[in-house]
Amino acid sequence: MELSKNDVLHVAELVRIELKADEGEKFVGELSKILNHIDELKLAKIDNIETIEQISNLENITRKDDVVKGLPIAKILQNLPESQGNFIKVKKIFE
Amino acid sequence: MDTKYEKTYLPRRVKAGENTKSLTIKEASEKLNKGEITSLKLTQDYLDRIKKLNPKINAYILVLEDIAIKSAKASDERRKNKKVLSPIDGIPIAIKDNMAMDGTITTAASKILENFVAPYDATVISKLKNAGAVIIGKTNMDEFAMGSSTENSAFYPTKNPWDIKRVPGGSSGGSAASVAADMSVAALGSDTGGSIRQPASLCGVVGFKPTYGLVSRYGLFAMASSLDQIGPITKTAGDAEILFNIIAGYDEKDSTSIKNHELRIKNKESKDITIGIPKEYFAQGLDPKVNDIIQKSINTLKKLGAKIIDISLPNSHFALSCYYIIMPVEVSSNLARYDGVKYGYREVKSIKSKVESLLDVYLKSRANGFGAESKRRIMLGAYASSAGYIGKFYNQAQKVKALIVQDFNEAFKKVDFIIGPVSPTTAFPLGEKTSDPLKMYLSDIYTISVNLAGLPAISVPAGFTDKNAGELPAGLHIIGQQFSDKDLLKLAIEFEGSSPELRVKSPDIS
Repeated sequence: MELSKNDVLHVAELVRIELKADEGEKFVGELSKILNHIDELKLAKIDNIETIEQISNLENITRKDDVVKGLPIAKILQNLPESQGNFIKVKKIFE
Repeated sequence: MDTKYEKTYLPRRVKAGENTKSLTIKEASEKLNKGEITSLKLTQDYLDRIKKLNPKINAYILVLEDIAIKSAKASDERRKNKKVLSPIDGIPIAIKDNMAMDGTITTAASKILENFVAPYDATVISKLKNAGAVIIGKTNMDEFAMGSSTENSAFYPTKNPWDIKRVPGGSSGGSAASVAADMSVAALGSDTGGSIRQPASLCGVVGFKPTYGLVSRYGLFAMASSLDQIGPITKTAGDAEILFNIIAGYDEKDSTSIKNHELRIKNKESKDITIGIPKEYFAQGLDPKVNDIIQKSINTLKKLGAKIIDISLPNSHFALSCYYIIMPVEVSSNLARYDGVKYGYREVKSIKSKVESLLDVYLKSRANGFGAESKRRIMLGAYASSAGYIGKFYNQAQKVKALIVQDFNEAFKKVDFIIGPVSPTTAFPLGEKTSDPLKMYLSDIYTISVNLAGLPAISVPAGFTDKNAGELPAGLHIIGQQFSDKDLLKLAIEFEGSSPELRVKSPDIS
């Protein structure tokens, strides 16, 4: 299974990682090699096999819709890369 | 075999408890109870050793000297007032740096979290604190726990204390090295495909991955959520049991947390146990030197009275491929949160970097914040779950996972435990596998299926290779059924007790 450089560039765009000059070719080679190995899965006999959704057979876990105390704002603020007052500062989204 | 360099550390077996070095939790706790030592002295000794050895071993990313000394003093005070909280009260314990600890920098060994201050305690950290543990530092790891050698750390690789030219394994390599080099009495690690057991095997310590769901992951930086599990790395299986009892338990903050698992303990005597040896775990690829060590362990278990039978796990050779789809798909989703907005590294506009839009922030923060392995897995996961490929890859892998689980279920109809090697080789030289990701992934070939099936498993020191192979440690892998954790630990403790000559404490430090 060979990936093309375009495949890699497309995936990189999807996952929001800008590739450096040498990275495109490098990932084409490395990911193709891994995918080639993974390709063996098509040999597995999976007819009539049910997928396991959750390994310990848990079903949906719910809780009451109660208001609980969140983390203190000051602790959140200390990790903000850029802030203004109690707000997260980001680049404008709309032109 | 590498003979080009001189070994810096020669393995040495130290008599139990000859000083504060090489103590187990149990021994340290006894000394504290008898008043032979204070927690402050014990903690100071460990801090001194860290200062001396960390520049060589790089086991730690962050040493919490002030916090440790404060907790040690508080522990001594409690002991004076006969209010000891637990068997780990006053004992120096190291934490893998992917568990949130309130007010401390927690990096997951990633540049993207280099300055991240955790705003709360992970449940395991609260449990350690409530038990009076002295949390002495944060250990190095592969970035976001992705790797098998700790060379993917954004900061520096950790060295194996038995031979500093070799890797300690990974991703919990810092935790395993800290225990092996006596820079902590015990440590916590996390295991998604072998990240507790493989470094434990390569560093000659005990590493226990509990059943999926028994230890809360609240506050563990998620890698692959259907596989991640926290567990202890210790000098003995007895210590692993002590630490496991403290960190296990239902937690409503982790929706995969399990209630009432205690109901499934069988408590069989070793003479009534049947152990299976899967032929697939001894096939091509296993280093004969590791095989020799495992064969000796099988004999030891026979002497304990266990019945040993041959079994087959016919789909186990698919485990690696199955894992390298399911895991990256989850990684891709879990690591999407690191986007430079709310926390972590954010690329700002500079002469070198053109950051004009929000998209530029995402693209460049992630490009410069993540290391190569993280990028590889994020991209692989996105590809394997993208429209047009999800059927071919992800859905197929989920079905193969069901086959692997089915193999284990069939085997456990006949046996109580399954044993084999933890990793195909002993510790390999630094840099040997960094240029070939697939070769690196093969280090986890025996451990991965355990995570896919959510089973408990332990690596117990089983022996050393001989002198011309470097006297490197290898562990015995014991795998149990879901929720058989206590029985599994019981067997590991018996195995350990039956071969006291293997009770290796730490490498010679000179």
